[in-house]
Amino acid sequence: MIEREQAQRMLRAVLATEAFDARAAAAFEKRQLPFYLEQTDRAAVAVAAAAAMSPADWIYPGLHQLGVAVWRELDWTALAGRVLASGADPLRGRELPGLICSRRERIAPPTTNLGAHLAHALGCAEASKLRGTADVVLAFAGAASADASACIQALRRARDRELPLVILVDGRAPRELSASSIAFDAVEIHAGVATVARLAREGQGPALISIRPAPEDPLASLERAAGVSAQDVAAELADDIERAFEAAQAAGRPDATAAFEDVATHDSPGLPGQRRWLLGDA
Amino acid sequence: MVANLNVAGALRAALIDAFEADGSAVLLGEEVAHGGLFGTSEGLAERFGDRVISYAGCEATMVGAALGMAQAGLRPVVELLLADHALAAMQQLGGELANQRYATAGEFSARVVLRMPVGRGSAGGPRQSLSPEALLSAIPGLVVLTPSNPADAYGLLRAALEQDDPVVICEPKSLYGGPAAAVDRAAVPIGRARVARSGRDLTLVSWGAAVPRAIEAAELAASEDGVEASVIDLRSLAPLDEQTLLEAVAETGRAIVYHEGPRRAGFGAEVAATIAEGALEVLQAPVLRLAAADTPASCAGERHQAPGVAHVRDAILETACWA
Repeated sequence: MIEREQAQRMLRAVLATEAFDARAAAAFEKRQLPFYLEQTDRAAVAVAAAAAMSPADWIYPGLHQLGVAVWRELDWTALAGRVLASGADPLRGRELPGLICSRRERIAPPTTNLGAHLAHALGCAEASKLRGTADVVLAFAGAASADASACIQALRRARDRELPLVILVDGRAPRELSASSIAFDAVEIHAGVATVARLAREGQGPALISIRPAPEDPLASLERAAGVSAQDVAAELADDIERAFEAAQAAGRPDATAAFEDVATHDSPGLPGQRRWLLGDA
Repeated sequence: MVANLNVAGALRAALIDAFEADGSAVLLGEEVAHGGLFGTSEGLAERFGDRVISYAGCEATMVGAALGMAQAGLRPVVELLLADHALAAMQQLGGELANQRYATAGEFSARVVLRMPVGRGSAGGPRQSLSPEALLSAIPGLVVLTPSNPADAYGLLRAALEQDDPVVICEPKSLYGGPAAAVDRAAVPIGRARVARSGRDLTLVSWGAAVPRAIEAAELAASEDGVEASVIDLRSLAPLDEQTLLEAVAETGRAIVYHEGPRRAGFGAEVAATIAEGALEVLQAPVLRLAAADTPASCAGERHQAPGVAHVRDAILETACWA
């Protein structure tokens, strides 16, 4: 059974993610963004699964798991800056809008290459086992990523090595991967992921689970556990989200020269010349 | 401590020294638990146990997993069976590892060393003889190194294992079992070419497996024809030591670029273009490229597909006399 306080925090994170998503999608529709992938009403999956993990566990999101960053309390202005590629963007406008990572919060960088991050998650789980830590790795995959060879390879390898890896397929997993399934319900997802994460932590990993459709609103049971209505919480959050976007917008554009920094430890000798040519540097 | 080692032995010594110095270093590869295809990881599994990890099959998964290990704080060394297999891992290498530090604005970095046996020399035929250095050097974010002798094999690998960015070491497989030489077990600075031979008449620019042949051809041209060629061993292709390269060409006014891989769009083209841009006013002859034929490698005929010492000597004479 989920604690009331935990349920309230989860509900707030889901609704914040949805509001954030709606604001970003609106900006995309107005052509204020070059790219944005909507959360497609799956915020409950990302938040509930992230909430089932320990803070020290690594999470490898796909492209629809903004809720992970919200759950792990990344600064909202920074998140808005990330979407808008403004001066508030911690990634300096280099990465596609909406792709979020944080070493401190143990959120690994997503990738736009189908399933590539599942191999990264595999390596992270391997590192956890080698070091003898109790850290579990949670990786999200869509149905297409789950169908990619990267998922099959990662799972096969993780099974051979009994690694602490949980792959959560938000959709139908390929039949040959024999996933267990959880209904699309925030409380059930939280409980299901918590169970497989505990087993993985105890050396009984990996696990592959998928989300199956459910008739009820995915937040209904979470609202009951939280003892508050989603409508009320959403109303409280709207202003905060808007303020985050305004602050991100007010930060202006990121420094254009920053686009050339950190290419490699040893920059190409040609880089200073290119910098002069492109930016008119002295 | 100076040791007498061949290239394979120097690489193995570098791995052992680095693994003893850094407990986060791990080795991944298809045959590494059994010493590696060319013996460069011989005995490491016995010495370092779980830190030597066999990875069968999928190179993309292995290289991607190495990035995940790096994200979690390990320092993985990936030993590919052959450079040709890197093509299967190019998305991970070029799309993920190479971009990691840049795309995340330094939040994450890919401290991964990718070692790959390159080139001809083992009658590997069309699927086992790739020289991908030009392909790899064209990817921003990758450091690309290639040793030509035991001391550099040791030193470049040790230097690579101190980097915060992904480093690819193209190891010429024809040199693994070559002659032993003194190795002083010191890191070699990345981005610094080596003047392997001094000469006033012409500059021969080379790297990897072609360097010993370049030196031999230069010695022959000096003793038989009285033409003194300097030999520059680039060692580091990305970043490229343009200063040493251009200074050497400025001294002689004539240059030949000689390498093992195919000529078309090979790294020699980058070197020739760099010389043209930076030293055109001193050039007294066209920059000549000597490289393998633009064909796949042949098991039986690989020796005839790339210029040998005699060809290089002829080219030296031709370029030295060009007016």
